[in-house]
Amino acid sequence: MGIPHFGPSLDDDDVAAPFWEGIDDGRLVLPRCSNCGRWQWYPDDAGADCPDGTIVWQEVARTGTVHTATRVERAFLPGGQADVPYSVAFIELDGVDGVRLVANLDDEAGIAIGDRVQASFVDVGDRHHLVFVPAA
Amino acid sequence: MTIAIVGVGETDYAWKEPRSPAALAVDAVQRALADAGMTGADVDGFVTESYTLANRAPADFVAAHIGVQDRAFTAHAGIAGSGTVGAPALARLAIESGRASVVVSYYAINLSARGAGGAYQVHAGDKAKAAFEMPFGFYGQPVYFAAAAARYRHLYGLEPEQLGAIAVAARAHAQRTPNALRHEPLTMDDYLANAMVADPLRKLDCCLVNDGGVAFVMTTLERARDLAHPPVVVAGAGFGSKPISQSGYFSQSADLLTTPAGISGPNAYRDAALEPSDVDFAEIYDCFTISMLLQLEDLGFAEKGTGAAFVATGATAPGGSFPVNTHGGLLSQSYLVGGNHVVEAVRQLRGERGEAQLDRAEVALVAGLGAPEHATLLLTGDR
Repeated sequence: MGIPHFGPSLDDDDVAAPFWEGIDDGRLVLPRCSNCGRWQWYPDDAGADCPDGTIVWQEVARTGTVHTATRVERAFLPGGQADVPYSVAFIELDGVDGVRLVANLDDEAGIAIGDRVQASFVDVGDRHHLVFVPAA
Repeated sequence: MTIAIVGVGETDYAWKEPRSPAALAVDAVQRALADAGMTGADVDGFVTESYTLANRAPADFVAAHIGVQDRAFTAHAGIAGSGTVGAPALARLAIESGRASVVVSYYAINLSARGAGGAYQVHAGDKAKAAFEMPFGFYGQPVYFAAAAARYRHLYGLEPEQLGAIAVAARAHAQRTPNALRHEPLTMDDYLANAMVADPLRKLDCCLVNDGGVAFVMTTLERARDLAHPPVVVAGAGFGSKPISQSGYFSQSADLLTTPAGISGPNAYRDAALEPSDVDFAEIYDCFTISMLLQLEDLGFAEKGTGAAFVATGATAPGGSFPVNTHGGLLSQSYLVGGNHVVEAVRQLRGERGEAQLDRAEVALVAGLGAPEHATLLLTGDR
């Protein structure tokens, strides 16, 4: 299906951990500001943008639209020669303004920019990976 | 007060250069001072970009080597190309306010010998990219810009021959540039046969990765008139930045098809009281063919979505109606992050370019990109 072999590189207590824990559970969860409700993407250790806000993780829709996509044919990650080719896309999820998820596409499904897609959580052994497939 | 660029210098451009960026910077600055008819003792100010040079080629090292006695002003402008191309904006502030009289800017890089990881590695330490982009293989600058190019193709149409026209024109300009690293002929058939890296970008859509140093010297126009070369006037300079950090710029920017040139360009035109129609030629940051195309549109030389058709007419190639990157650019001359673009504009405005000299070279635009940051420079002769 064209999944790069590199998993997420996270520190202990990494601010990004809930995103990948959600994927292992088959859910998409994204961070937003407890005060203003704005999505905080990408989250970082500076916390929520509002001074008195905190980051809260909220489950979101698994469906969305492909904003752009490219098929990568040359490996840039060290040791990535076996990964190519693969397709990587930006997905705009339904009901989530101002966020694009970077994710892989099922590159055998003929997905094009503008197409409707849904999340699929693929078991890659020690974790799950996020791949978008054509919407049902 | 008006300032001018009075000296330019470039090291030899090379691959696997053994010298450090700091040593390359010293070499380039010495050449620029010699070109200006000055020595390090004349210099009292430095402006460089802010992303890598403060560590890799710091002003104190360069100043000590060239014999600066009184370094009254040292400042860092924006990221990468924006800081190098935008340096004259800060130099002008320093000179106008009396804090410095002769300001040097330089850029130097030594990336080609680093082995696995290479030029891509500079982004691997970004925690957001490591968590949310690299696991999906959204990594490597060609992949970032391919995502924008694919979106452009979806919205406006983008034929391979249109991107190819930019690569082929850059090579044709480089063939007329003695110090360009790529001189061998490049035809459209060669381009179309070139391996895809990340659709729609081929290897030939990507800039070189090489080593070298570049520098330029600035002082008042009044003093410039007494020096060896015709003054090149800094007619206008503008910075602009998108409201997003570098971490998210390539995926989360509200509009992937505009660059911050759309902000710095109007600032520079207003500063110079010039318009796009006044510009004779341009040196535009071409880390990729698509990045040059997007800035060409953002700077007012083609409506958004029409730049691809414009470059396909051959307008930007040698002999065209609006030559762009007359040295071969980052694609075919040298990856000196826009410093080489400033040097080329100066040489054209001085009339020094021999077989590559443009018939009409009175107003130049130079554009430098550094992810969310951008600078536009307007240079003219002493009119």
